[in-house]
Amino acid sequence: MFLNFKQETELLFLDAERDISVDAHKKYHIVLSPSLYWVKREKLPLKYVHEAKKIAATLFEESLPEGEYSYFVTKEDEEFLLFAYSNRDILALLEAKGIALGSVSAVSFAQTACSADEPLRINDKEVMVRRDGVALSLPAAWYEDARALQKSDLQVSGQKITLEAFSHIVDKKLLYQAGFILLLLLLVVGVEYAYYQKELANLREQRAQIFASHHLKPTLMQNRAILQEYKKTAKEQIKLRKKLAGVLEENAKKAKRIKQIVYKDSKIKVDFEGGEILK
Amino acid sequence: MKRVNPLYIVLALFLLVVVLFVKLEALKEEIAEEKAAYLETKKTAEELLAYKKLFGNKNYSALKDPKVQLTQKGKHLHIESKSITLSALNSLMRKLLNGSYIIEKLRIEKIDDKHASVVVEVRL
Repeated sequence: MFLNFKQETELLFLDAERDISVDAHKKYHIVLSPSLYWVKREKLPLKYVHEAKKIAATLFEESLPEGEYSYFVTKEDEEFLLFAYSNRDILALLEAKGIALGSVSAVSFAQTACSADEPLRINDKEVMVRRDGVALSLPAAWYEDARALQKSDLQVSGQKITLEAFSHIVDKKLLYQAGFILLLLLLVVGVEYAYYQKELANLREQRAQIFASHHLKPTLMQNRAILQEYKKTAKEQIKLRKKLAGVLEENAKKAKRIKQIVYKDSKIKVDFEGGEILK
Repeated sequence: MKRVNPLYIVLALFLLVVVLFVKLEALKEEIAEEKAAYLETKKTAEELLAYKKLFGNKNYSALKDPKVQLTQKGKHLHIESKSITLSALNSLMRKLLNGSYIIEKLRIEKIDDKHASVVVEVRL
């Protein structure tokens, strides 16, 4: 293959005190140093991971510094491994290290992405040690002969977390509530929209029926013009009849004798004997 | 980070609600216009029907009289008598004025105390 658009994914150990070089063209599977999260191994009277996740915040309540935390839970045999991490701090560290969020393909904990049993130096001051199955970060001074962590010590972990870029700006619970309300609103407005569309179609149908049943001309403008013509004719005919009625009444009373009546172009002219003219 | 952020979904929902609201308002306006047009059409149709009944389907044979001459010229009916008695004239005029005939031209001229000449043009 001459062309390969798939970007390489590289495992990268992320620690605040560790120097790393980043290639903007690469994708990274980030492995979080134990100094970036808190972990607890607990035996809980629960069966499922999602049940444990619900109470994770309570279990960490006393042990975490003030701040916003997200939780991740996994089960090992009968025990639960509970992780607490700060989205905001990890995102800030990624930014400080020059790693764009778009370059991050996955994020795992060192707990699951590094299985080495021996102490491994992760920076000048700290060593990662596994105790009772939990990866811990301890002072380097305690393990002077520990070797440095290599890329080969890391492996892709199936247990990944998702960093929520806006979780520190908007409360997740609030976000879901807003989403639910918006969905409801969408449903209500959608139903209303459908109702009004039906009403519009009904009105159009009724209007078309009037046109058909009354044999109207195709446009309302044409029909208006015809109606105006009818109204004008009716007005003229009523006027003519009223005038003629008056004249004939006077003639009947013999008050005035008619000589000639002429009606033409909507104008009436009555000539009386004696020269009187009525227009 | 392939999972879509919920904030984007909420924003998209919000935009969708706004767009639908705008479309709904436009639809309501369209309905108001359509309702007005429907009412006007209904009123116009009813009025047209009334006028058609008034001016259409007239019985022109009622105007037939041996004393007058009736001729159809295109869309007009020409009624003429060079000399008609006043009682026959009164009878003709009563029929014309009480019926819904459209009189376009009329000329009555006195000949003497008992006779007159008459010319009437009625639109068919």
